[in-house]
Amino acid sequence: MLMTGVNAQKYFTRSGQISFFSSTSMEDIEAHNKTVTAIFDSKSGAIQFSVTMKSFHFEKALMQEHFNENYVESDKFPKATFKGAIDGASEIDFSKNGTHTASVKGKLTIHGVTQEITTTVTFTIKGDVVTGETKIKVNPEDYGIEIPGVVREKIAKELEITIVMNFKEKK
Amino acid sequence: MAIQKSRNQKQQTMLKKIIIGVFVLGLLGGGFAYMQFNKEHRDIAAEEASIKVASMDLFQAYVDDEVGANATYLDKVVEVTGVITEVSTEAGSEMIVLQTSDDFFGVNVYFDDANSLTGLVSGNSVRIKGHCTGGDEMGVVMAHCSVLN
Repeated sequence: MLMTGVNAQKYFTRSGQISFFSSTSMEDIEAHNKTVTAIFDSKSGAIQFSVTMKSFHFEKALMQEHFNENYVESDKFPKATFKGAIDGASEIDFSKNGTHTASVKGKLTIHGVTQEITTTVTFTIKGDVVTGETKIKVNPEDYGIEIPGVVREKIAKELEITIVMNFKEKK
Repeated sequence: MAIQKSRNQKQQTMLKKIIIGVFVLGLLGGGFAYMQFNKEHRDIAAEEASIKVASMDLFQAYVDDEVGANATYLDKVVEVTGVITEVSTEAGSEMIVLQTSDDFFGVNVYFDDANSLTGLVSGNSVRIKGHCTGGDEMGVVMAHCSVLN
């Protein structure tokens, strides 16, 4: 087993960004959330994040309303969460500048429905900031999100979700 | 001088009224649809806070009973008072953290621009108003905030 020589450190952000983008021949839909709370343990690799759905901002207010009221039902399910682990975290020296990729696997819960997901995360370490970036593809139907037929055409079958988090050591 | 309008003339007048009626309804419907499509985002800064709470109590409510806390605070415009424990200037997510019983997690107060951070210093008490979008033991999210004092 590798001796890392560094104590277990927690890395944290309260300004994580989650964006999603959907493109069809009819319309482009884009939303951003910059209020994501995320934390990971560099020794165990445990990672989790929590995002409040009502903080997703769409340019069109009507679209934001539909998203909240009809699709994700944010009054009933205000948060989406992820709990998982970074594979091989203990082998990454988060205190040294550099770039690493790692597989992250865990449970993603949206609209009260949990699915197991796996994604590749790129960690870029520069000074005291560890940036974690990844893209995941989500099919709304997998999370019980019902989009009426009329509107379904406007939304791509799979939404691409981009996650960018600038972590700092939790002291 | 005709005392009665002929049946034909009555029908024509009725038809005209129907056409005008449908046209007006169409305009109203179209106008409504246009307004809905282009409706404005909720202006949190312009709304009165419907509830006031100390940051300590707001956070504790979420730690103790998330469902109950959401019933009280979720989607509301809330006025929160508390001591600033952190000021973050990360572009696009300018925010401050208000003190709670936890020495790290707190009430996360997000602003829409960097100017809102002017004069805000750790250790000072502040009164803010914002849109509560939820929370848990890792923090309470207050979006589109403005400083009241």
